[in-house]
Amino acid sequence: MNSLEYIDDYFKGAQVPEATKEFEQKIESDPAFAEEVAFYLAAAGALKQQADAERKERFRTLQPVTVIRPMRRWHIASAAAVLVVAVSAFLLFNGQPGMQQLATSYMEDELSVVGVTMGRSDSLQSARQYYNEKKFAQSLAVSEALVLAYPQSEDALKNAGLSALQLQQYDKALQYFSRLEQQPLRVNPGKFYRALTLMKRNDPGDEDAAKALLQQVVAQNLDGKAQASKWLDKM
Amino acid sequence: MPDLSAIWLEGFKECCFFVAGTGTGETDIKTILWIEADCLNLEYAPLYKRMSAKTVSDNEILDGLRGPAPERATYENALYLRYAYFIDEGVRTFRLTREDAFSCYSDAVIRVIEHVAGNVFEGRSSLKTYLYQIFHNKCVDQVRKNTTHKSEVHQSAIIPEMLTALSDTSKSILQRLADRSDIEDLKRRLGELGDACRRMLLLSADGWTDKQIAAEMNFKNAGVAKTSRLRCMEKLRRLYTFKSS
Repeated sequence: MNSLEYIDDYFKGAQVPEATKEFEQKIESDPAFAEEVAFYLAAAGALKQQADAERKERFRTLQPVTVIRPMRRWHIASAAAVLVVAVSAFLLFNGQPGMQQLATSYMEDELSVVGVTMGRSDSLQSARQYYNEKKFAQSLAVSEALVLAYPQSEDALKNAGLSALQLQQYDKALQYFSRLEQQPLRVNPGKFYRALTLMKRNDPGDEDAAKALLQQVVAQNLDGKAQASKWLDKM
Repeated sequence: MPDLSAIWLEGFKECCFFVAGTGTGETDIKTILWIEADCLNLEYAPLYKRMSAKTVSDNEILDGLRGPAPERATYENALYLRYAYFIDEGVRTFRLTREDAFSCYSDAVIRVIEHVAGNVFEGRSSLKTYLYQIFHNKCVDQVRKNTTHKSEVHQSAIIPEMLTALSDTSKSILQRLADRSDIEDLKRRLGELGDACRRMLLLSADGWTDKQIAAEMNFKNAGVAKTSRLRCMEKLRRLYTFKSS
């Protein structure tokens, strides 16, 4: 057995007292052997540093889907107070239903469940079942996996977009509905769903953008035309 | 969207249908993703990595980190993702750049992984608290480094745990010799070994047994893997010389 194998066996073994004593005696009496042990230890150190560096680079490639950040109590209390004031003001001063309320009502009436094909059990059906059970995060995860596998699947894109919309991940919903819009379908709800998402999000500028999209839906006779007309009358 | 290799994509499609074909109407998302990840090389399952943070509990992470080396990467990723929001806190509370905060957080996660695998973490506090304490200290060190512009204190090449069983005399001899080692040169020499040698030595440094390395790199058995690994070490030894004292 050569030195390196002996040294390796010692450090990878149980390091029992008898073996340790023999090992120490060799280190203290044989400078060449001591240098081999020092090399083995230095190499182990360098390898560990290298492995940690590669681990760090692997971490760099990981992107959280959402940043799960626990709220402090006072954040929650402040948010609740602001919400109460905002809702009160809205109810006090607004006679007509706002754009966001229109979107919410539509989602409750028309998008609380999605069709499941009886007798089939595949990932798409799983995603739809999760959606119908209001497990939107799971529905989104499965749908996103399907979109990765089948980037042009209308059903996967639609389910991913609707799940994201239910989770109020509006940017993500808009991305999926935009991609849906680009698919060459005979009946394409992508533009209508994009308008719906903007109405629900209701950020500055969203109302005008949603109106423009609804007008296009009507003008181009796209899926959702009837509903788009009704909303445009109220806006 | 992540960049996927064609091989991963094909494997993933097959897995989706495999899972579907087993009638998974009642299977929860975690099981689906675990099964699908099992069909593939886990390194190329970005969706699984992202979902890990939501579906794996702290106890599962701890068990996984103490488990067999080949499966540890999954749990390491899950631990990293689970508390990745600490990075934002590093930026906000310590006024670090995002890169520095990421570095402190990654180093803290790596330290926790070592402590859990080496049974240093005893579970007296939660995993989150333990990780945060280490992360906090690293942020403080980073702030100090940024403020004083001092470079890092020279760190010994030796991993302290490897010397615990030896006498003080032996430790002194080895420490004196190791202080003459040039870690950066050693790392450069590692790059000259060739991919197979380098990979084998890195897996061993990461705690993989010779049996696990044999399975991973298609050696006949653990004995063959060990012989190959030691030959790689000897090759590295020939490439490297200690600095003169």
